[in-house]
Amino acid sequence: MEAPDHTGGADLIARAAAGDGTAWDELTEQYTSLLWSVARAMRLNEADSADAVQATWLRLVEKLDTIRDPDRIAGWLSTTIRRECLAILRQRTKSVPHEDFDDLPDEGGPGVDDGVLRDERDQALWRAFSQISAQCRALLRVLMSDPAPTYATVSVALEMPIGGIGPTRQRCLNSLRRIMAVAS
Amino acid sequence: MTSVDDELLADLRRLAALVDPVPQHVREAARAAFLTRDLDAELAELIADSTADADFEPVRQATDERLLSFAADGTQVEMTVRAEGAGWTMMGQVFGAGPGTEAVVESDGRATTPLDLDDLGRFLVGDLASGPVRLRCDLPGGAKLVTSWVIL
Repeated sequence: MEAPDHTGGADLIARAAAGDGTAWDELTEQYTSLLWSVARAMRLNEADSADAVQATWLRLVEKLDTIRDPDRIAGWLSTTIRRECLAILRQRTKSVPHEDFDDLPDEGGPGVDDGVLRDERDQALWRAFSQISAQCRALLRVLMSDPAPTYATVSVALEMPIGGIGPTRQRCLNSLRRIMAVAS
Repeated sequence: MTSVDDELLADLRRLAALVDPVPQHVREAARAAFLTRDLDAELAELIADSTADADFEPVRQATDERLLSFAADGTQVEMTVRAEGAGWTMMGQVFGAGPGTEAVVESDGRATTPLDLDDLGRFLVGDLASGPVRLRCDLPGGAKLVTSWVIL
């Protein structure tokens, strides 16, 4: 079951455009996890992810008065963070075409060795997550946004056909379970 | 889609919040972005960026410089940025601004670096820190101009 669209995005945009800082804070509360997840899904390291997320919010501030379809703010943010991430990746790696970002060296994403996860099953699950395919990791990482993103948003963020998200999600979760079963 | 899948994904979401959370400074920067809002200045939008446009490719590879163009009504800003030492050097030109234009480089709304524009609107500034920057100009007639953000 797909989570409902974040509610009130249009209202928050309208209020922020009118100068309401509280509405802006709510917007950032609602969507910063999504933006961070997309940047991490695209394999940016922490510093670059931070830059990409900040750039996205700065651009929204620039465009507050001209957002044409505030109901689709999640889509606008997803498009923008994706573009910012690709720009940063291009600068870092000179000229890697964006289709090939799966081939980039892994920046050493967070592992299970830093002691944050105490529970053994949690450790096994996160370890398995690091072993599934790059495409699966990207999709699942975006789906881990809190609150859960709509498939429409995921589709924009990963340039993935919306109809493919459900089946791919299922396949990726199955492959996660298989890795955990083999490991245990 | 099954509820078993939903549960597994909920577990992953919980772990991501523990292992790979949004850093606090990222949340703070998101909130602070609102302070960069400027209703008085006209936005000069980015119209060309050598890191995005294939047309610029040979130039960029030859010089390792990034070329950027911004345009607003009647005013255009051209700049090149390149890494130099620990920071960034930016040189460029504001077209159509006229003598007496005052310009600064803003770094995410807090620090500003004043620019010396010559008679032709040309400028050169070094030692800019990595992160978002934009150029702000006060034009002689009282109009204000700000470029969209560039991430160094």
